[in-house]
Amino acid sequence: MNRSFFVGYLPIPADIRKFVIGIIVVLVIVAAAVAVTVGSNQQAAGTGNWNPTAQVTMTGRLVVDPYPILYREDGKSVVLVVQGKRSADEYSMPHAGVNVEVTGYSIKRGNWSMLEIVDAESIQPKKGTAPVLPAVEQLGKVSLQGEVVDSKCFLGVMKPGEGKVHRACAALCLLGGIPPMFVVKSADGNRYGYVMTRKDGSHASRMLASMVAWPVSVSGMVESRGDLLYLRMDSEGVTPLVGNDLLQFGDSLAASAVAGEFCGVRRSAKI
Amino acid sequence: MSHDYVPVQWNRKKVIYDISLWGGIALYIACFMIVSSILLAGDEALSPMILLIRAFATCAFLMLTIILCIGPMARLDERFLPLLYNRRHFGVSMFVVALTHAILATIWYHGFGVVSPIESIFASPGDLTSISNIPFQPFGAGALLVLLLLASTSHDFWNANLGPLLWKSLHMGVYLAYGLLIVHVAAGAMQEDNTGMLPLLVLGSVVLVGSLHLTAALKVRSIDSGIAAGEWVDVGTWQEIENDRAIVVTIGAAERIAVYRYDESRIAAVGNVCKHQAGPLGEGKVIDGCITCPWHGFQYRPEDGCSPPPFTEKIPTYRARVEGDRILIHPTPLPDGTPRDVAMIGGYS
Ligand code: HEM
Ligand code: FES
Repeated sequence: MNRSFFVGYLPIPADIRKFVIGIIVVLVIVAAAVAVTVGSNQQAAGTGNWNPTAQVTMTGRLVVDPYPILYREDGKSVVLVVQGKRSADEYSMPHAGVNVEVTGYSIKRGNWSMLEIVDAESIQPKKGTAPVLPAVEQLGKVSLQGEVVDSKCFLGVMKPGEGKVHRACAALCLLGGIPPMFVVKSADGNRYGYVMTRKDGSHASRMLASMVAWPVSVSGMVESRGDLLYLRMDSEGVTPLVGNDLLQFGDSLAASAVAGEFCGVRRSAKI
Repeated sequence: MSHDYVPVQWNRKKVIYDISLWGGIALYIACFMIVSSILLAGDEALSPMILLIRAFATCAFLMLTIILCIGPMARLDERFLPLLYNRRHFGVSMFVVALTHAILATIWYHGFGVVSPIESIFASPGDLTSISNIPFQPFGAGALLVLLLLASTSHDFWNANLGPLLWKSLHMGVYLAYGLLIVHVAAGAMQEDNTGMLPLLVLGSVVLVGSLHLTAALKVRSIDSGIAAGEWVDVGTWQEIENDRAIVVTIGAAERIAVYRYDESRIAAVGNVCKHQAGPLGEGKVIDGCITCPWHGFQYRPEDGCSPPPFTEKIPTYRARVEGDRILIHPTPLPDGTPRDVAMIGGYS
């Protein structure tokens, strides 16, 4: 018997050539099949939307307490951030409290609105009376389970913008001062978000950078300001879930009675 | 088989190989992107950049799996040898695909921040207390560095200058890279995957690569234990060896030996390791009177283990005897390129 044998620099024997062509065809089919299977099993990541192609302009009263928010005449609150993983604190400070016109790229998810500005020029003082600030309403004490996210990615810049894969990116955003957000799933199946501050109401981004994107619990006071809900943390930070809480995480978030109450009634914080 | 080094010695086979390879890669990325962006569209659409990151990542992982399968497949069925002949191109292409993934992921997840991207890769929050806390990016970066080292030393220039054994040990690093990648995926994307797709992909790859390697390893005949130094060892009958072919044996803990039968009635034993990239000489064939390596065709004379002039490679030779039907081998290697008597099969007709 003399089986044919392939040597790279000699002409390829006909039977081996046929075999190799067969293998190549099989491999190409395998590649396409794996691509289609993995590609068709991508998980949904919500309805966040970021339009980085067309800028929009809005007017309202700019407040920095502790995060820059534009309160519009129509009652909408719009969180401001800068392009990249940076906060808009610095550009907003000079205009704090006054009526302004802000231009930037819109980011939206559920009832949340955000504007991504470019630089100091994106905020211009605007003549006219600024809208009246909404009253701050204390809603009470809660204890919630959920995840700290960076609001910018979560609301639509990155999809998905939460979870472990996104943890390093979220940490970078929080180090850059992007407002931190606490995301819970309520007993009603909906997800709600809270802007997080320290107990004294100050900036919590940098402090939370190392605790972002983990299943955690947090307790604090919920207050409403316009259509946003704020969570003032009791202690300095959040506590990682362990044991059963961790195992069940994802099914029964924010199932506690108090949390459900706030979550249920504040339609505006829904994401 | 020395030659001048040029980046690639192109020939028609290599061109066809590379076209099929990059055609396959393009097809993979296209299928992935099209299917994923049709299924989740409009408000539900995922970030195109994240889809690209995933497409390149899974493509590179699939390619690495195929690369790791080619070796054992070619040992089990030599018709796979043409795929092995240009495995270097497959490897370098896989590195380019993996690098694309790494660059896009680094820009997207670690760029645009107040910390430099590279620093951010290694400063991702987490610790080593549990699999859900382990940061996964450093493992990807580690794998990338290993693959970079392999891709940049893949050329014959390095192989010749490092020597086949050092080169081969270095290139065993591909298994390190594979291991690091499994951690990279298991500690990362897999934990966010509720569809079971990634665990299936990784598990399937490990089972395939592992079982092929095991099966191929079982092909070597090992004659073990209790052999005193200087003894002749019975390795089997000459009828078991096809003409112009060999069997591979290990005797005790010594190096593998290729026992060839050629010219119908001659038996010659040589070291199994090719001086080029340590290919398995015992899986080659005698062509034009020379033992020809199955991987890239380097040749050695059975009489003395030397490459025919003008080439200068030499492999160790072993003494062989035939008694009746049985072949006896002396397991002590003679220095590279030492001539010794070739055994004749007595009364062969
Ligand atoms: C600096 C080096 C690297 C970094 C920063 C990095 C980063 C990442 C990130 C962020 C993800 C999650 C992507 C997502 O799901 O959105 C990921 C997933 C993955 N990476 Fe890497 N990676 C690196 C190197 C590599 C290399 C060299 C490979 C080689 C093949 C690789 C293979 C994978 C695979 C297979 C996945 C899972 C894909 C998926 O999410 O569906 N990575 N990597
Ligand atoms: S390993 Fe390349 S020819 Fe032997």
